Amino acid sequence: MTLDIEVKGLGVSYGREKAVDGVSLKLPGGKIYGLLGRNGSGKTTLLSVLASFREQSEGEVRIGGEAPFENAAIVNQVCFIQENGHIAEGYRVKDAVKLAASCWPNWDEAMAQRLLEHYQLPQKKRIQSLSRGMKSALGVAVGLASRAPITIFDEVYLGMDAPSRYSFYEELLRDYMEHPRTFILSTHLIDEVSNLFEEVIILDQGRLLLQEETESLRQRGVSVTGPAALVDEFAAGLNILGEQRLGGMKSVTVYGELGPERERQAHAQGLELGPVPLQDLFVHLTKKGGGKR
Amino acid sequence: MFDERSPIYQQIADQIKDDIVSGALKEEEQVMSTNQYAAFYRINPATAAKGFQLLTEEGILYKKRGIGMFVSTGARSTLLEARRDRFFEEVVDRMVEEARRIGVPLADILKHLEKQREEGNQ
Amino acid sequence: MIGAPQTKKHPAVNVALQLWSTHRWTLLWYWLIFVLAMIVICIFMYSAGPEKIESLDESYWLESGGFSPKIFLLVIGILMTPVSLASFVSNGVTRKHFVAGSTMLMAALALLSSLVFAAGSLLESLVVDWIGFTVKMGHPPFFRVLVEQFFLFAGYSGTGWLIGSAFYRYHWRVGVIISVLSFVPITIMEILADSAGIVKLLELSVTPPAWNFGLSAVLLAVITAALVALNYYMLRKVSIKRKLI
Repeated sequence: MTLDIEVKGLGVSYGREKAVDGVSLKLPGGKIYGLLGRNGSGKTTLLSVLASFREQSEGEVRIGGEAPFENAAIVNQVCFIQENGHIAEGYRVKDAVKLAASCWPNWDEAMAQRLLEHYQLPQKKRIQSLSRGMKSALGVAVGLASRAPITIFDEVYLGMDAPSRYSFYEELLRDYMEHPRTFILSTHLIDEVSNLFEEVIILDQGRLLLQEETESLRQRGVSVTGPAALVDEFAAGLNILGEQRLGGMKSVTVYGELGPERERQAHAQGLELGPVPLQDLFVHLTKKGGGKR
Repeated sequence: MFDERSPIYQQIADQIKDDIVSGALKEEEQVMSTNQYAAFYRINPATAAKGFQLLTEEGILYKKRGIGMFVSTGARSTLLEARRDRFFEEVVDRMVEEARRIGVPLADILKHLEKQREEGNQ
Repeated sequence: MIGAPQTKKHPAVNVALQLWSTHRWTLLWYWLIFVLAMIVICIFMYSAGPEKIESLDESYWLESGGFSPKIFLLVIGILMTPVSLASFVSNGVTRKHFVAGSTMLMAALALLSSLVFAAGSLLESLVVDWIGFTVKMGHPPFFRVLVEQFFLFAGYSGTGWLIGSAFYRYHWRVGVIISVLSFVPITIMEILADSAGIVKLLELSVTPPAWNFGLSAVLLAVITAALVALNYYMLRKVSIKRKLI
């Protein structure tokens, strides 16, 4: 079973500051979403509202058609894992797991134990004495074993070393295929995980910049390289995200598909068209002053 | 594994096509499932499925309900034909373009090809 | 609402049981040490005191013993929200069910504590009779001690809980104000129960109203319920903070 998420005109303020401003989204259930944004773009705030960690100041949130805040039927379907976790520091690993097991309706104890062993988490150690990577691994284990129809990882895996991260991606993917549900992964390191995402959502300064299928977003960016004058002429009127010069040569990153007509024109003028990695596209889109659609 | 040059599903389709052309995948042989593919390459299964869909639309693969995806009979010859069609446009024309750019006379290329043919005949 | 087997307990009951499993050893150890300490003090006072005591003005257990468990329960209350709220909410429990579960836990702690306390008072009177002291004040009946102490203990943990919740929810300045104000209801409770505690500590000379016990008990219950309601009011929309403790 999957749950759809719908967000309309969402606003969250901290005092006078607006952390999230007028965000509207539809996230059909059963997909892996990537939530991207620079630090302070409102990712965590948005996710906190989805998980009912806080109530929105404006707008509407619907999960499975219902308002989630303080709704017992919904909050136990949404598991939100943050890097530092929320379990009291004095708890032992096994207490934290026992608590989680008692709360999540679809808890998979076998999986939890397998992951604890896999990440070599000592059952008797207290949370406060775990390393950053171990805390992350505990979060990952609890998040995956919760089998919550909506499972959210907020940059948890950043504290893990590369082998642990890769095994996390594998576990997540495998479990997702066996038990389809919604995953939302927030990150600002895109290269490693972008292949996992079916859709990408980009927030910038509290606003929704775009929501798009990862594969079509990949095709949105084109780099045009050639003699500066020619490139300028070609790119006039296009949505330019960034440019670089090297001597008389120039390379611009253009957002939006060119279409066959323009591509032919570029080839005819001897301009080189190249792909733009998702990470670069993200950097260009969220650069200050850039990134208007 | 995948480059950024084109969509991943396109690259998946191209890989499977390469395997069919090279004979690594035989006709009527079962192809890895979408999930196996996704797990192996650590990609979203929807992306893998899109690649497979591309191939079924082209008639390279077909689906046996409840069993999986198989290589169609005649897939290899279809692919070979398509590649031959594109051969001059994609390989020869580009070679000629490059030769002109760097100042290799066409006569030299012809000479080189003649030599290869003679070696091939021996 | 999901196909998988749902044999889970009601979330509020689960919160209470989970909290119980982390608090039971603390409670046991506390009472063990407390009772032992009281016995040692009594023996010392009797046998090694400067003067040989032959009569008691009032019950030593009720006058001196009541204070420590109140502080103990106050502290448990203070820690409740900062330590446990985020643990439960992040595991998919509503604030409402957390408040309900915490209330059950505190009621259980207050009940067990008041049972031990009332039993101690009963035991003391038996021992005093056996030794042959004359107790001028006499002992209030077991049941009355039990009920009054139950509400007082519940009142102290509820007061602590209020303080912890206030600091969690509001700016610390507001927390300080609420902490000070939160001693108003508990002081009223002490007066109602004519108990040794904050009233003696502040050297207030208040004569308890000469109501019958039933009315006092009802009022005690109402104030306790109000403390729980205030906690719920503060926590029902609170945002989950980054880790505090």
